[in-house]
Amino acid sequence: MTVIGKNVLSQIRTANLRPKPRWFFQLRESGLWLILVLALVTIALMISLFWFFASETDLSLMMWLTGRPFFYGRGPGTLLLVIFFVAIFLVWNFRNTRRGYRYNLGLIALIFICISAALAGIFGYLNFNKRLDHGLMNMPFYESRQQYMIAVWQQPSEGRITGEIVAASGSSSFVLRDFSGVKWQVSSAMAVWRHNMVPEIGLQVKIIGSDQGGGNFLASYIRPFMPMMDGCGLGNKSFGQGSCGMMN
Amino acid sequence: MIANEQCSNLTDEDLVIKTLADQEFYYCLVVRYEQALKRYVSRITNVGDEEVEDILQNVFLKAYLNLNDFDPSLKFSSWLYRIAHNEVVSNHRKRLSRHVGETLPLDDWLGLSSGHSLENELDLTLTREQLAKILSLLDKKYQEVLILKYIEEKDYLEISDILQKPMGTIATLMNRAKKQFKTLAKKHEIKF
Repeated sequence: MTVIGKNVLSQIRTANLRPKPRWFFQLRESGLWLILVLALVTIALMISLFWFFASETDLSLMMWLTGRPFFYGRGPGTLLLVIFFVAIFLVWNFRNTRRGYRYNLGLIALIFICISAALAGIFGYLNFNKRLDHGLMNMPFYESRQQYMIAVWQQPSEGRITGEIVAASGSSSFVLRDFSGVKWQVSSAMAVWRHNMVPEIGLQVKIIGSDQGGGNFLASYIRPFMPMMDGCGLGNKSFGQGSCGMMN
Repeated sequence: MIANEQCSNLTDEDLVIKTLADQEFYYCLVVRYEQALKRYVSRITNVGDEEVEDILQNVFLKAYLNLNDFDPSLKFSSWLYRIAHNEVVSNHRKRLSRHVGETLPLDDWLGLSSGHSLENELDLTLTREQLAKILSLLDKKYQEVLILKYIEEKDYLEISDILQKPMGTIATLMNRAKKQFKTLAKKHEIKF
């Protein structure tokens, strides 16, 4: 009998050791795969939400106006960070599955990107991203697209204001109350109205122009604030007759 | 106690199944792999015989406790070598945390049973001492793949299972290991 063999068997007998049960390993492997699927779904949801953010917040206009990347905002920035860390966790998790080590990391990443993109497309098609955006609106870490847009658009010194029309007199001027409650006398005689809208009480708009001082604003371009998933504008206030859901 | 003769005709997988029913059969598996693993552990670590035996005991105990985790689609030897590799890494970390210096005793390498395939592969003419010396000078990650391939005579799939790396990575490591081996051989003026 070899010394090592004798010692090993003696320890097994003395401590009455038994192999860990098979279910323990099966449970661990199933847990890894479950976490993997959940991580994949999370990434797909985040991508669809990110895409929703991008498509609903005047992406190109914002980049041009602010001169900084779209993901500068807290909402999109948080989404990107979540996607990044969950993706790292996903690949690490896969490597820890029974056969995960056999596959090339690049290939794994590519497959996960394709699956996430496909799932994100499905989630977008089913409007899960809109529902998620709506659901996350009151979460402290989450800046909804409305808040993000208000933050970007409510900058009079930069020539941008946004809010709700509270009084209108023809198409040449109206009174706008911004989302912080400040009232603006907007001169819109020279402004281009997106979708040929007309000023109407309750209509939510965003305006590009210049701050004339004393609460006066000279508008050069006016567009609806944003389409909503149900009803129109913040608090279900209308963009105008027949304009609900109109894309800006 | 199970006599070794009783299990000489059984495959590793048969012995695993028998061990799960009767722990005494585990002795056969220990005996079957003891020498090979001792040689492997000695070559990838720079520790004395006693520590090698401690490592081996831990390897066999861990293997026993995790016997139900053995995947029959892999080779049992690959699975066991992987546990040994992990135990060596773990032991190495413990030694580092204890600041135990590591020097490779050349004598430990001189028990190399076969390095001829490596010499042929690299078209080198080496004495065992030279082979041992160069292997000992290689980076750890290169040293281990060369040992597994040319001394333990494992194929790429087995090495991939032991080191838990993709086969492509193993091939890359192997190429780099050979290059480093040749460079070191040149540096030490070994005849080509």
